[in-house]
Amino acid sequence: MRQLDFNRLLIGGLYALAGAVAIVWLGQTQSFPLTLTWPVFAAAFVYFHWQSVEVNDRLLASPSVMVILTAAVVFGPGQAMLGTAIMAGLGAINPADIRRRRVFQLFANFGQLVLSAVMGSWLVELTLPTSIAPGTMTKVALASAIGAVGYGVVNICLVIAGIRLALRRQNVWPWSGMARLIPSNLIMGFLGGLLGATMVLVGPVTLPLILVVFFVGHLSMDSYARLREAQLDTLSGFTKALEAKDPYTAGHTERVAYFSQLIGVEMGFKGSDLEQIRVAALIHDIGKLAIPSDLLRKQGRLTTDEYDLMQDHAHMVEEVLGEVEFLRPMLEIASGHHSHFDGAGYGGSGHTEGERPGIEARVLAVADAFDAMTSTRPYRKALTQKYALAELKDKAGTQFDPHCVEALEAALERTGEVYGSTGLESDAVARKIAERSDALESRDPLQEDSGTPDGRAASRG
Amino acid sequence: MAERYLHKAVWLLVTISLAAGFLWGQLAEDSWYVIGLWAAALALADQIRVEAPSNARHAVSLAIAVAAISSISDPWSLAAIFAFGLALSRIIMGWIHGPIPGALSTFVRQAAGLAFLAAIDLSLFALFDALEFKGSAAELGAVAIALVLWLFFDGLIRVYLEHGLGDLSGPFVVRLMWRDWPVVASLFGSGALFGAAYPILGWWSVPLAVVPYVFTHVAFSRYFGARRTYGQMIRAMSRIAEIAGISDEGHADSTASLCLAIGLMAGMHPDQLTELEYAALLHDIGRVSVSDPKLSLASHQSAELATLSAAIIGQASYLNGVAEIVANQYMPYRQPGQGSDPEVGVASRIVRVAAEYDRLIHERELRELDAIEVLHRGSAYDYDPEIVLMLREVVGA
Repeated sequence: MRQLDFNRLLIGGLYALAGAVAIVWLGQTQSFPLTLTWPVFAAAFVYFHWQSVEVNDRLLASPSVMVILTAAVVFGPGQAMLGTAIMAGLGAINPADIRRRRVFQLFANFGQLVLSAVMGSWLVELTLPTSIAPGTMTKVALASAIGAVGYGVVNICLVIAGIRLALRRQNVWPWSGMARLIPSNLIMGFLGGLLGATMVLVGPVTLPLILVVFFVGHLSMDSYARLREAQLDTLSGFTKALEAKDPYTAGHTERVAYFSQLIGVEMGFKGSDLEQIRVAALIHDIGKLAIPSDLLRKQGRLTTDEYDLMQDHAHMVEEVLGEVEFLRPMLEIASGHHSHFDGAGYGGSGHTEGERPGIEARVLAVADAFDAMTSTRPYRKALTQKYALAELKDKAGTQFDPHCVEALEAALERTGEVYGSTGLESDAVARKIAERSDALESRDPLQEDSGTPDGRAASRG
Repeated sequence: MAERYLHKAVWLLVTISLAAGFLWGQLAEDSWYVIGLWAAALALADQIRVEAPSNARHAVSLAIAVAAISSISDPWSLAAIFAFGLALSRIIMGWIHGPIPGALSTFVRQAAGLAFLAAIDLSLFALFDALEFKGSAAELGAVAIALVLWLFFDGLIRVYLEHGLGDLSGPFVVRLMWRDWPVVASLFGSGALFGAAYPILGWWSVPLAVVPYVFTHVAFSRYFGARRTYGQMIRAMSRIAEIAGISDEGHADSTASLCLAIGLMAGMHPDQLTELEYAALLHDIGRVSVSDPKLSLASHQSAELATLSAAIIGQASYLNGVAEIVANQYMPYRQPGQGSDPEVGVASRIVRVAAEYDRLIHERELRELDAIEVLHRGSAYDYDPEIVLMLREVVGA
């Protein structure tokens, strides 16, 4: 741990040193733009950078790159690199990092932001036409767009390299997806060039006008991101109500969401597709809130009526949440989590008898069954991970999608995480526990919860 | 009656503007080609609406109007642009959507707003010229003043047309007006940017003004979409107890409607109203997590049930305010020998009164007046008498 901290400090220190050296060198070779617009640009950059908004996969985005490129065009050759490098350096000193004493982030951000700004402005200086006039607008905008790409490329390379070196790991998700932000950087750069040229030609009146539009847009985007977070937060909160109703399912929803995400990442799901699986996992059991508590907690066999009522929870999720627009695509996944790979099973709109359910529902089914087996139930101890995986493989091709089962196994191997009981002496003991609970209570170890009517194999989770 | 006169007056204004535009358009410096182009832009932009925090939908044509006012100084040309543009927009809308409910009100509001905006801006330009106040500061000053005045004017017209001034409290009207400033500021900013840049940059000013606005428009749409679906989610959650058969069908919804009407009358802030609505919808949610059948059927005034409900709601940090309202809604608003309990906020008192009223009406099947009478009898400690009075006004008993 100590070595890791030292490593992070070293990498962060090197980045910060590189940034500081660049500023000092530029101080010798360029002049500082002593205009009233510099503080405005600096304030706008700092605001937008500090208030970056989370986009898909936890990546942060903001129009700060546009501000850097506008400033580069306005300052022009001989001033752009120094002027924007100091702006970027200021933006890196984030109060949130200082408050949480995140030294690595502070140092590394300082270095990578300064170097990215220097690269972006250098490219602008190189490609900017000698005079800015209405006839050269295209060239200015292109120069700025090239600068924005340079800024983005340096930024991405430094962030990924820094995290790989500091954390000593190859998988740097979510930062590995930063390249997806390049097109928006390109547009921001193009616009920054236009705005810079407009400021030069029309006057400073254009700066507050455009900044107010971006400021309002940014506020709305920020509110949207918070509200989106609040939606998931609220859904999680309500699933906890279910856990209060049935303590044996405590943490089940969150774990199923986590396993679904593990499988999804392993199978190459990204962005909103991955998010859909996670949300579907969060809501997959919400229909149980409408099932009487005594039935959920019942330890003995269920009557046929009770069994039918229990099965209703897969439909109930659609009845409860059907009117929520953003959840509609997830409802089909959630309602199909008891649908089998071979078309058997049951469910709501996500299940059609004899037809293979959607891939997302198949992912959820594996995650749900894995958690059901590796967590303790009122009628048995948690089974071992090895046993659970063996059971999943045994039913792969009939109840479960073999690719999803393989993906879960590979993901667990990659992360090194172990779930379920670890104290069982051997697989034989684990199997005995599972079989005994099946025999006594007529339960299917592949599914959570209690019994089935008259000893029928159940699939209720 | 007054609304009818207002409609007539605005129609008259539009007709006069249209006629004047035809008659004097040739005297103005701008050609009919330019006027037609601006009117077409206004009509097309009018098809795009952006939702605002006050639930109004502002037309993007406002940005075109601001740009036109910045670019054209002749009032008759402006009048012709606005009249042609809005008329063309109505034709397009009618052609696409057929008859639209409330279209006349919207038209009246828009026409009055644009006329007011042109009058304000042109007066400000004339005033600044007379004072020899020029340059960037003057341009920005004119935009800012026009923005503030337009917000007030549009808010007043909207409240007047939709609610009538008598039904709403003054503070509520002012808050409602100010809520929309971000949306309106972005429309004004984009329009003014185009107006300032066009004479020098020509058509380059189009992407300059449009691209930032598109970003903002998308942000608004996403935010309001998320806000709408969040409300849908809370409503859906509130129905769980009803679906499970442990709460009366429609109880949460009707309690929420009553609470909103009372909160509106009490002049609550729009954000507080949203919290009040959520609290009313979820005040019974605790029923779904209890195993004791007696408790699951208990009155909403049970302390245990309120605590359970608040605990579930409080799991989502975004709903902490709602959880607090629900946690206190079972408590009397005052104790014997004491004044009003400051811990029991107005929102909690409203939920208590509204939920009990709904229960009396639907569960005990009392008549409205009898239910109000029961609440009056309990107003020494249990039900805040001021809120009971407001409820009485709301239900018209």
